[in-house]
Amino acid sequence: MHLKQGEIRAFLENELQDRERVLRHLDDCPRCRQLLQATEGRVQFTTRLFNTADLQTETSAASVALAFEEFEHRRSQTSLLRSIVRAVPRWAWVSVFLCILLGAGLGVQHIRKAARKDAGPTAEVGQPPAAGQNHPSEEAAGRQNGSTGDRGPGPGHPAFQPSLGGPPGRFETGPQTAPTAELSQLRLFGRVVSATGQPIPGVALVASEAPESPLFGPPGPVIGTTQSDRNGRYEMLFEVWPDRRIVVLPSHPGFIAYRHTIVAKTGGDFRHDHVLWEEQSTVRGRIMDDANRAVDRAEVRLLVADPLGDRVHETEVASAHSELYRRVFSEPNGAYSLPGLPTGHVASVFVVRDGHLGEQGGGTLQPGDNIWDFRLKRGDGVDLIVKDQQGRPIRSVTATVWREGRPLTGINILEGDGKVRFTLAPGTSPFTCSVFADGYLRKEVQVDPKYPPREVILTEGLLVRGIVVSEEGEPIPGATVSFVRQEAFDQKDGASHMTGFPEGQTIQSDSQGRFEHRFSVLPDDRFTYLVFVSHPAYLKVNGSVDREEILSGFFTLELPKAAGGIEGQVIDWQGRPVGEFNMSIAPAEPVIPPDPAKILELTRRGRGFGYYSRVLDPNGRFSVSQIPAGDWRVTIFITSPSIWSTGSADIRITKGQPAQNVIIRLGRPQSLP
Amino acid sequence: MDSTAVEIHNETAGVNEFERFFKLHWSRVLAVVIRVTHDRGRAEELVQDTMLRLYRRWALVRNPEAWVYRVGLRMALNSVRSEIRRTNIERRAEVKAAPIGRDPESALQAGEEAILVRRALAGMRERSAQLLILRYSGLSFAEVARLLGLSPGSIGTLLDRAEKHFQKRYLALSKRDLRSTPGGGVCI
Repeated sequence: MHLKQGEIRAFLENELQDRERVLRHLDDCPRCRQLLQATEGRVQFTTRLFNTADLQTETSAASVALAFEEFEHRRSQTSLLRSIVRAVPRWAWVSVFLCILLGAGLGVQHIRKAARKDAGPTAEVGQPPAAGQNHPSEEAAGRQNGSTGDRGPGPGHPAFQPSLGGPPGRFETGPQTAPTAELSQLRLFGRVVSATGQPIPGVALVASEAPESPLFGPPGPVIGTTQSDRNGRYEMLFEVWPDRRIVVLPSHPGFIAYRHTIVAKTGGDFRHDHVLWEEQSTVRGRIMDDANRAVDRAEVRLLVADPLGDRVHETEVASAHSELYRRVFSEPNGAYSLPGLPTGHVASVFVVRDGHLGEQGGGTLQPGDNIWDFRLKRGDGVDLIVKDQQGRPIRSVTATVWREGRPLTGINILEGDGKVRFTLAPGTSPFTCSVFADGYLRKEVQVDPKYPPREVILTEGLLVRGIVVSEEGEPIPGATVSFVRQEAFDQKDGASHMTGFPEGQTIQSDSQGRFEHRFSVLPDDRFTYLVFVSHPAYLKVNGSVDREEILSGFFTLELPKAAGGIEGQVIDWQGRPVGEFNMSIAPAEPVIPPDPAKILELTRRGRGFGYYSRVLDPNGRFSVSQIPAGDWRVTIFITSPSIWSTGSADIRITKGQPAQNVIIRLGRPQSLP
Repeated sequence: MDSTAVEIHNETAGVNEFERFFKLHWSRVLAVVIRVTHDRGRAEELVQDTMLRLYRRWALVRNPEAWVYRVGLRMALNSVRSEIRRTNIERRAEVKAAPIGRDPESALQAGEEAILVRRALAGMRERSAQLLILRYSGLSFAEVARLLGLSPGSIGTLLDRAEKHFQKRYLALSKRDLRSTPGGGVCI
């Protein structure tokens, strides 16, 4: 009688009591020996795969205590009701969302554009406005600010009408579609710990706008700072739109930190922990040329891979990744030094020098000094002068090279001061170079090293100009206007791909409420932009502009003035206070306000599809400020795995008179189908 | 002692008992969940959620140890399945950094393998996946049997079956990956 498969498996793992019996049987039975071998191979296969990743599964006693502390914090914050709401199946939330959409009559564009379709011929793309043909509203704005106004839409641009006191229909309302995204609040939180899991208090965390160059560029303007508390916890709040990139850099004496880039998808909570490393290594060496001479001013770029790469994570709210880089230049004797690097991590080094071919190397950082020398070969130089249509050199140019659809390596590219310089190995075959700069259209040129082109002329992108005004037509200076590309298709191949402009472009209106921006897009591309407009004293608005609107060359963004607020409480059908449910405020029927897209959602955990997010407190109380005047309906939806309930209240908000003590009573719960 | 005092006493005792349980099992459950998520931060979130659920059912759960492992693993596997649905795993593979002590090439290969392992696990029957994860987290047959509510004698057979299934799925996935990578293998 043969051994059972389970017995063989247990035998292999030393989990069998009577091993002797199995051994005796295996001596006599070739079939079972064969089975044993097959099983052993399978176990080895699985073992190897399960041990592939170097997972840090160890946990110290201190971090267990910290975990329990966090648990206690969560427990105190989270009610049983919340868990029920969280357990609601997704389809139920979707149905509730659809109810909100249908019931509230969502769907009005917030951006009133001045472009009138009957206002003459189509504007010429990117054409600068003719002097002395200012827009009436701009002229009015200019007068208010003591200026005569020096800009305005050209003759080809649609006429603009001031909104103050104008007859109905002057502003064309856009298509009745719901906005697809909105400004919302991102709560970034987490812990700062050492490599051993110990919390590090007092760590300074600086948040900045993401740099244009993802790696070696300096971070953008600082947008927030904080410090970790005694338990290493930190928290930061940001206003975000989809794809907003925020760079967070922790710093603390004696520690090395990675730079983290957070890419927001929507508002909400996003946890991201930072690990600071203590053990330090140095990379140093000399850079020589092939004639054994020291290479001066060679640029040495070092990039370190985060060993906790698995922490590069993504949720529905945001994604995060980390990077650590350094850049130095070699000294006259060819020496370079990169101190303060985390020991044990894998680093890559790239060395570039004008007139030489690039070199790269790398490895695991050992404690103390790591001597990495490089030898650069000389190459042939090819210069491309990059100019605009007026013949002026364009600064901040970026170039990429490829051949037959694949990126080329071994070609040293230096960009700057309106010049792209390639250093090529002798005998390099022709290749394609793509040159682009912010505000200009990308251009591809064929570079034959034997007969290189002397210069590249880039065409200016599309100029978009506009003005931010209040409901009364007053220009609003200092408003933030953000354009975020929603999609970009190339009509030539029908594919969706990058057209060479940054992810999001934010500009501020000037003292006369005006703004202008040059998009790096082709006039015949199909594109849609999401536009977010905000100002502290006004209600934020969001919407989308399409190709027609951008091509119209000038449009007006209107911000409704925040007038009042609302405070109140949600109670259940038996009069007990409840909290943490979805709440929406929509214009009450049958009053149809001029801009019925004033949907305001308050959702649990700060996420939502409206303009604001709020969290009801445990007593069901809520408070929202900066709501425009008008009639509103506050609606509450509650749903659990088996029941749902809703309640609403109609309120009127007038300027300076916030609606207080609004009680919203939920109806008796209904069974879900 | 009045009834209120008794209730308060019981509640406090329950909290202390739960705290002991939490501190005793946190690390081990976390280690197992990390093996599924490959993301310590995410794993901590999942184990916190699991512990919170357990806390609410503390009085009702007969075998909290088994419960917390099973629910924790189920949540982790669900998390991986959602991840796969969002097709982010592939993207993460591209940006995944190298683990300590590996050269970039082998680290990249290891990263790809780890992703395939998780995808294979996510596509398996829950009990089989749990069995594999617990066993390859270093638990003995007896411990696995206790946590999953199975007979110790059946673990060998079930484990073997789970491994066969895993191997089959893994190889199928890796073949599919090869086919879908331009220039990355033989087109069949």
